[in-house]
Amino acid sequence: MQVIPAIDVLDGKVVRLRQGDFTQVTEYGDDPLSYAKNYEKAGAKRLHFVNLSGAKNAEMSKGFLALVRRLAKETQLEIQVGGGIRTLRDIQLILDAGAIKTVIGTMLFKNPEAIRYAINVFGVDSLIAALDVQGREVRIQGWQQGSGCDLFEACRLTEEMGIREILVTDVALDGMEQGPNVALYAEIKSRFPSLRVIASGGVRNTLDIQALEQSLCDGAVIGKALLGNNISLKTLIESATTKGQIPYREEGSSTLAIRVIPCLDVANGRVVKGTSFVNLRDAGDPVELAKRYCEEGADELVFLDIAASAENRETAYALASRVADVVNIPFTIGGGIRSVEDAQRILEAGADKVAINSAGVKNPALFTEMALELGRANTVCAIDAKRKGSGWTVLVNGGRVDADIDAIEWAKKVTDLGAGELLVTSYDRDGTGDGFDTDLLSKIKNVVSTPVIASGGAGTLSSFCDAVRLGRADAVLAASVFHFGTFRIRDVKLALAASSFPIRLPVVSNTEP
Amino acid sequence: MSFASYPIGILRYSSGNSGSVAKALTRLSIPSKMVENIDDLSSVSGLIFPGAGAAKSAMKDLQERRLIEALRNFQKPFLGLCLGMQLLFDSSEEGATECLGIIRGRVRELPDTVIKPHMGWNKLNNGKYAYFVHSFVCEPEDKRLITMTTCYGGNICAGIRQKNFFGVQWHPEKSGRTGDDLLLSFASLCK
Repeated sequence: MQVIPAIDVLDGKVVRLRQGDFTQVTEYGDDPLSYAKNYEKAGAKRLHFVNLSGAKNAEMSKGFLALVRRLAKETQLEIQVGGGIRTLRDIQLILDAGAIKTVIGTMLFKNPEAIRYAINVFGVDSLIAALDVQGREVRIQGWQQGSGCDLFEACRLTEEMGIREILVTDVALDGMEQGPNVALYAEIKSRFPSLRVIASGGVRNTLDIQALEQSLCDGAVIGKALLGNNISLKTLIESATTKGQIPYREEGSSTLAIRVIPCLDVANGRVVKGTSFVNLRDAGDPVELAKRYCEEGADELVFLDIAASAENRETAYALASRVADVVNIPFTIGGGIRSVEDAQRILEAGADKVAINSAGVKNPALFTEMALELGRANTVCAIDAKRKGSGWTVLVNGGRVDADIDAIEWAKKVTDLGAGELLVTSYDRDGTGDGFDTDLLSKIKNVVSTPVIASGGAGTLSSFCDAVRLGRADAVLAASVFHFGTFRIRDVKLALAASSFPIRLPVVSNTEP
Repeated sequence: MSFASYPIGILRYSSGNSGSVAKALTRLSIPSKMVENIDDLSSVSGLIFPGAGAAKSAMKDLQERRLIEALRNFQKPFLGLCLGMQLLFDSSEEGATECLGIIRGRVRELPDTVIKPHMGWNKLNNGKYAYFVHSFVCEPEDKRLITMTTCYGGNICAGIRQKNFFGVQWHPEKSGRTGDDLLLSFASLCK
């Protein structure tokens, strides 16, 4: 557990309040910097620095910011700053002054939108939620008002926002030197084990430190006891049996999500495989369908056979542009793209990747040209594979012509040439619902290091899991099962999650106007 | 939500996917305009600096447009995306390129132990998923500038901030709600 000394300043002076009461002020001189330096000498790594003037007047003064800058410059302490932070701008000013974290109280309740913005632009590690409680109710505005929010509800909301660290002060005990509310902290830790909890209020001595350690608190803030010279910070720090520091940043251990991709087969600007979405104005409009899948949580979209003829190519550019207008996820366009120029126009229209099939068989150098001009990541090779003898052969021209190329060797070759991803469709399984050809997929995965999208044969939910487990696919693609509503995107993701595969489960808007 | 009266500029140059970024802002009702030269920079409330492609040709293009000094001295909120974030650093291993030098540090290639590019949806340390496509990663000298990380063969920098210069390694214009939230957050800083 980390012991964190606190310095509260009011009008430039080091002070302590009794239970947050601005009429009960004890002053301890006007040199916060020398206190901070002494704390650092005593072994502190972090400093809890409170702007009581700010908390009282709800403003961030230049004088206070200058003080933070001096602390950051003249000590190595990690400074967390609280008091009077009301806006996104305040957070930025404090961080720019050299603090590593801002301690947010009232703003959590009065301006939660700005907190979400702060998490996005300054990082979740830049925020600590300060929950000051009286009984079980969280107090705001320098403890002067009730928030109407229960502590545990506030913990839940905080966690939901993404904030990982909370500072909980029992108002009744602050500055009273009666000992901390250990039972409260123990309950928070048992209910919210993933939150890092810093206890504040009432800590007097090494026994309190040990009791807080028992409650599994991650940190303890000590203010008054240090100023009263009752006990040395060094003694307190050394009394903690676990000397761990609260990490500045909690690193994740993520892996790429398995992507779930609906495929839209398009001809003459219309989706050719029918769909049973009854509440679409036009189920044949690829743009409407794309928007729908995007809202349902698709990770990516693939449009195929879209530009199979020259006149359709113009339609494809227009379609790519219209899709990019409405979706906020990546999408791939394939079919009939013959040159780097075709591909470039598709990408410029707003698509993210271009899939090459027949044109690549005719001219394999196309993969290299595309990789050089447009980047490997944008170059997908679509392989239609059909069982032949003991292996698979590559089909071209929409499955009508056997190119007489071994599909596994072809997969290896195109990735060597420049394809950054493979979209592997089993011709034998396509449309059967018998499951993906996991044998084909795994043999391809054995020879390539690029991501592989499994396609053809999606049937049951477990067939998607098999494609990933047995076929080692990085993404699963299906058309009919989604179009006909057999499954929704979310069903497939939940099935993958149940098999312990990482998935992205976005907030799904089910309530479309 | 209301936005500033000036639109947010989107830098259009050879290495950008400025079209996709413009579409994303339009979708979110954030006023924007394309910016191609120094004169345009005075009439924007902030600047988004997209990037796709190679570092070397991007820097060459910026030089030809005589934008390098203007970008270094930019005072309003600035958001670099993917390559646009990498170009904020001193240098990149990609083609041994000298970059804008706004943020101390360098851009290194991902190790050979992972598949390159790092492509797909990965989880940020704030718990949200974002869409990544890149082979090079930023390594700031001051780790405290890092605003978010993700894990790909180890923890990598997914977001950065130094004063008014923000950057994300991922693509907010293609990252679903996560991306929309980031763009709206950035827009709220552009006043």
